Amino acid sequence: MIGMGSARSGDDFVEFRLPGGRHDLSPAEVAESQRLRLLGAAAQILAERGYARTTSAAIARRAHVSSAAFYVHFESVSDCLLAAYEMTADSLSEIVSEACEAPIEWPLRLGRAVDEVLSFLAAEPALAELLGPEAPAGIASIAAARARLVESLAGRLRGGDIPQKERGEIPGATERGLIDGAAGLIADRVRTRDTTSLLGLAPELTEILAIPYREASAA
Amino acid sequence: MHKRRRLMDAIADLSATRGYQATSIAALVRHAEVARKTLYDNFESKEEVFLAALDSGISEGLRRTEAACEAAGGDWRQRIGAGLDALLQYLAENPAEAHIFMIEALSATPASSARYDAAIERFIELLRQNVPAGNGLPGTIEETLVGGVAWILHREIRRGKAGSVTALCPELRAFLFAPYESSTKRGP
Repeated sequence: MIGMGSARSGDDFVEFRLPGGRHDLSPAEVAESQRLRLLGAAAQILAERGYARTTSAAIARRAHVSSAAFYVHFESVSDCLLAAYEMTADSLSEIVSEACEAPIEWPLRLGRAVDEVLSFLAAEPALAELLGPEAPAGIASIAAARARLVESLAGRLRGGDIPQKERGEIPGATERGLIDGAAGLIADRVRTRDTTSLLGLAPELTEILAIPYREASAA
Repeated sequence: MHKRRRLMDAIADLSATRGYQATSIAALVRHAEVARKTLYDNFESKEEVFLAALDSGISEGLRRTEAACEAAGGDWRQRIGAGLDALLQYLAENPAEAHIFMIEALSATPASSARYDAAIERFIELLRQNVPAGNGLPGTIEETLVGGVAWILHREIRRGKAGSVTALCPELRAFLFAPYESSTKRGP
């Protein structure tokens, strides 16, 4: 698990601590484990306190590393939050790509992708909150990363199996807007309700994301 | 202009250009051309000035949107379209207010981010009141649509294009109408 580039497995990497005493992890593995804990901790602190009150000291304390170790990995709080965001975005892209390659019909693949994304986020609520508006509003580089993520997911949505000619004219903003809206909805549910209700959103979100293609598929 | 208003305008301008956190009391009173004492005669803190500016911008934006929806008559497309136009027009005419509402409010303070959430809630409610009834769409559709519009606007404003958000009207209209159009056309 250690050394992975992303949190794809759903392991609780924030609480993950190396056993005390002797272990056979290389320094690089120890460093990677620290880095993952810092990323998870940064997302948690941001969710709890908001951007203005997210400090490197609080992140380091939550991740059980020293403040000095924080600056070995990251230049600043915003640098760390950006890395957490990118890790989340990579995980989501990976999950969606995998679901989209399943050998099933398009609407079912969309449903599977939604299910898998929601299960991942329900297991990592702090990462789910990164999808809300706070992190990108506070940090320009996260806003850019968010735009890239939405663009790539919109591309996946557009790449459904419905042939071009049947689709008709779907305005450019439609898929992006639905994905933006869905991300906000997920972040809001994580923030204000329990994470189990997140999984219950799957049928609605699947239906909503399929809206641009409904007429085409009914035709 | 009233000094209280001048301080509110100044904090909107400064927060929009350099960010709320980076705006000092000294810069604020200088920009508003009032004495430091005037600030404290009218407000408790920098945050209170910011929240007053934010509240005033949000309620004016909401007021114009609601008024336009109501004035547009009975057709749901016309009502939603008119509301959207009025909101975009307001944001384009008031780029500093647009910036503090759509961007700074989210990261400035917990109270300002709660104001943002409450405003979004009002827009969701407004959309819900104006869409065709019995459309058979999921209950979270309006929340998703308003969230989507908010993000598209957020991006434009962050790119410094608050003044020209009205150019997004056709795209955003199509985005807001699409779900209801396909549900009404699809029939029973």
